[in-house]
This record gives sequence, C-alpha cells and structure tokens, in this order.
Amino acid sequence: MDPEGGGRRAGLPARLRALGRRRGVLEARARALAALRAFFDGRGFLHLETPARVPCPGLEPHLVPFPAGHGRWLITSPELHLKKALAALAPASPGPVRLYEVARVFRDDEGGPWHLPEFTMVEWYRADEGLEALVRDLAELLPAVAEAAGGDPRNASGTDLTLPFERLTVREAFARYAGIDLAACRERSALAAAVRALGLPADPRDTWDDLFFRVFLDRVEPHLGRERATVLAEYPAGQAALARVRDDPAWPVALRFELYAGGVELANAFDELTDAAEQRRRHEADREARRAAGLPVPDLDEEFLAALAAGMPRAAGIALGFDRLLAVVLGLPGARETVAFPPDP
Amino acid sequence: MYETSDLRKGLKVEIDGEPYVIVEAQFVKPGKGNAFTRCRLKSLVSGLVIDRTWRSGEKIDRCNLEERKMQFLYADDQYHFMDTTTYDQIALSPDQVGDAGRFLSENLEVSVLLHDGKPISVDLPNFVELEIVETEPGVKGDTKSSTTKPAKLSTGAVVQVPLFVDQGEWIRIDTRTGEYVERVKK
Repeated sequence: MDPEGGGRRAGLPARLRALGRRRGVLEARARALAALRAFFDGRGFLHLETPARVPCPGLEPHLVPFPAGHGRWLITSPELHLKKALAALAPASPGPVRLYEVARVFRDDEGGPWHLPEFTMVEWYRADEGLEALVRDLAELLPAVAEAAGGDPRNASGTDLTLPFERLTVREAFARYAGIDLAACRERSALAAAVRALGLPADPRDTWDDLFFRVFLDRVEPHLGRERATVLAEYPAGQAALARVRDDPAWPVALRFELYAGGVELANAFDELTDAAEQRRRHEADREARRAAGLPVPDLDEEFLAALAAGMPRAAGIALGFDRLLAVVLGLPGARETVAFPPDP
Repeated sequence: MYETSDLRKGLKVEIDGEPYVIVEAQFVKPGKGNAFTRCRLKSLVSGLVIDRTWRSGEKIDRCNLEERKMQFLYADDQYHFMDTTTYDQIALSPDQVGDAGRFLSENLEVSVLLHDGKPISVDLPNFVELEIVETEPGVKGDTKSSTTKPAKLSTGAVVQVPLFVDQGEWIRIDTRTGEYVERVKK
C-alpha cells in the first residue's frame, strides 16, 4: 500500500508533485470556469476569441507587455479587439450586442502572490447599457462561481459576495478612511501636503496619481471588500483610461468602478469612451508617458480608433481577474495557488 | 542604491541615516497606477518597527554594515570590547548591548555589528557556558521533576535551572532563548 502515492510520484519534479497535491483546487477551477461560461452563454453573450499577438497590446502607462516577435506584443487585455468587434457586430445585430471572452493575458514586471505574468481575464461588454448592468451581472455571477467551486458565496475569504454590495465613491472613501477631501486637493501641492500631514512619505518626483496611490494603498484599500464586496466608483478624471468622464467642475470623475472582495481588487469596469478624437488624445498622452518612463511605445491601433469613429455603440465593459476570484472564493492566499503551473516566484 | 525590485525580506537598507532590516516586503500594483513595494522594517538601532512604501523607480539607500569578531573585556558604565584582529578597543552603551549583556563574560568572543564604523549591536554565540555563583542547594538525583529554581550566574544574570544543579557548577545556556540547556564539566 502506498497511501501517499509517494511511490508512483518518485522522480517527479517538485513543481509537478505540487500540481498533484493541488488536484482539488484545479477541479474547483474547472467547475468554476464551466459555471462562468454557462452564465454568459445563458444570457445571450457571444464568446469571442481575439488575437493574443497584436501590434498594439494596449497603451496604459503602467503595464509592461511581453514582446512577441515581428513587431508584435502579447495582449495585456483583450479590450481593443473586443471593442472593434462590438462596433462591427452592432449594425448586424437585432438587439444590443453582448460579448465576452475568457482570455489569457500577459503582463511583465509584476510579482507577488496576487500577480501572475500570465493570467485569465474574463472581459465582457453590454452595448446600450451602463455600469449598473455590470454590477447586477457581478451580483449573480460571483455567487454562482463561488458555489460551483465549492465555496460559500457568503464567506469568500471572509467576504459576503451577495447583495447588497458596499457602495462607495473614491471621494467618499478618501474622506472616510484618510480624512482627505480630494476635491480640495486637485493641485499636486495640496495633495502632497495632505499626504505629509498623514505622516506618509512623499517623493518629490511623485505625480499627483502617485501621491493618490500612496494614500489609497496605505489608508483606503485595506478597508475595501472586507465584510461585503465593495463597488468603488468614480475615479479621478485623470485615471479615466478608456472610460467616459463626467465633467463636474468641482470634481470631474471617470465613470469607472472597481470591485473589491477578500481585500483584493477583482474587477475593473468602464462606462466606455466612444469619442474617437478624445480616445486618440488619451492614447497619445499614454504613449508620451510610456516614452518618459522608458517603456515600450507601441503604435496606435488605428483600426480601433476607426471603429470608434465609425460608431461603436454606447457600452459598459468590465474585466474580471478569474484567478484572483477563484483564490478569494476558495480562501487561498494568492492567485498563484489556483493555477496548475505557477511560474517561479 | 537599491531599486524597488531588490527589496525583499532580510535586506538591510538605510532610511534617514538609520539602518533597517526588511521583515516583510509586498509588491502592490493598483489597477491603473504605478507599482509600489510596501515594506515593514525593523530598526537595527532601536528595534522599532515601521511601515514604508516605495514607488517603482524610487531609489533606496544601501546600508554600510560590517560585522567584526570582538572579545569582551570588561564592563563599567559601558561595555568594552577588543577587535581580535586589529586589537582596537571600542565601548558600547548598555542600550546598544541590550539583552546580550546578561551573558557577557570576560574573554567571550562575540560579533559586533557596525554601521558606518559605529557599533550598533552585539551578537552572542548561540551557546555560552557560565558558572553558577548562587542557588539553593541541589536536590541529588532529582533528574525527573520538571520543577526549576532560580540560579544566579557569574555575570549577574538569573536563569531557571533544574533542582539537581548546584552552586559552583557550570551550565550551558541558549542565548537565543535565555534558557538552561545542560550541565557542563569544567
């Protein structure tokens, strides 16, 4: 008898023995993925497979893409191609287009238990709808995935994933947890003074966003997604990325939200920007920021900008980190624990 | 200078001129922001623990630390040591010596940690042997009972020892726990 199975495993490299020990988690992962696919397939979403090797992998100034040869890069998200498809399918569809993709995405230069250089991103779009439709999707999807994985939707790493979610704007969260009114700190110098008043270090080369994240990471984020899942909405307009902006003169905000659960950021949603000229301006600014930071500067994706100009429908879109979600519903200490072949740390 | 990607548990760095060791380092990256490394650090001078977050791209000072083998000479209001290679003598305050002072006996070889040439702490060998100068008379043959009694050592420190151990005997002490290990013959 060999209850440990050690005999048959003799000679297996350590990483593969570890894979064998994670069998229960890997089975939960497969069930969760099937439930997630069934969720979208049952609601009229078309699953699309977009290319992984592209000339423009996305231009967000803090993401580092892996080169993929012949002037191409591995995608950091499937966003640009899914939006192109949204624009292409809208005129040919009887009702509002719904698209999703379970995509493998790649990001260099990220580490730690909650970051994987390649991970599974579930991204979905609802044409002619807004952010609240995505919140409703999450409220049904997350418990369904948790149950399929064998977890408890009311206790995912201590967090209740069922409604009502905790709802906070970024401005409210900063006021509550850091005592800072962001609307009064729109100048860098004002925010720097507020950061120092909290006793946090500020580097002279910190941008406004860097100062924002010093407070956010230290004082705000530790409170998010603890007892209940938290929808954190209305980011500073400068952090709009590909989202629309609401131009309130006192405090202009990006129409975005992020979902936190188990203390971890699980999803990021946009009320999608459809203005091609504004999108081009932001992409050029992103390329400038990348150049200044010494990061690769891919060409603009002109096909994407042409798709916006030709009339991408108003849409809400969201990207969910599947590995992180699984770790949270199973109470695991990091996304690494959920994959069959975690990379070397 | 270190980069943020160098920061990991056990690395020694300098902040505002003071040496620290990293006890915990965590890479954090907000969805739409720069990456940061969040660290918990312990001062090698005061032992105080602080939290510090560095943005990717920030530089962190290296810390000029040196460990030297020294021999303990004697204590007055300070503790005096001699470098066993250069024969230089240095003095440390009771604060700098800390708990190590309990088990410092004449001629004991220790390692002294210096920051920019200034001594900041003393590391004892894991085990030291010291004579008991004062304890209640030993209970012969009682090697089973788990009861202990206090014993004063030649350095003045008091440790708990088993009942069978007698005054004038030498014992081995684990300096990491401050506990009795065994009797030794001298």
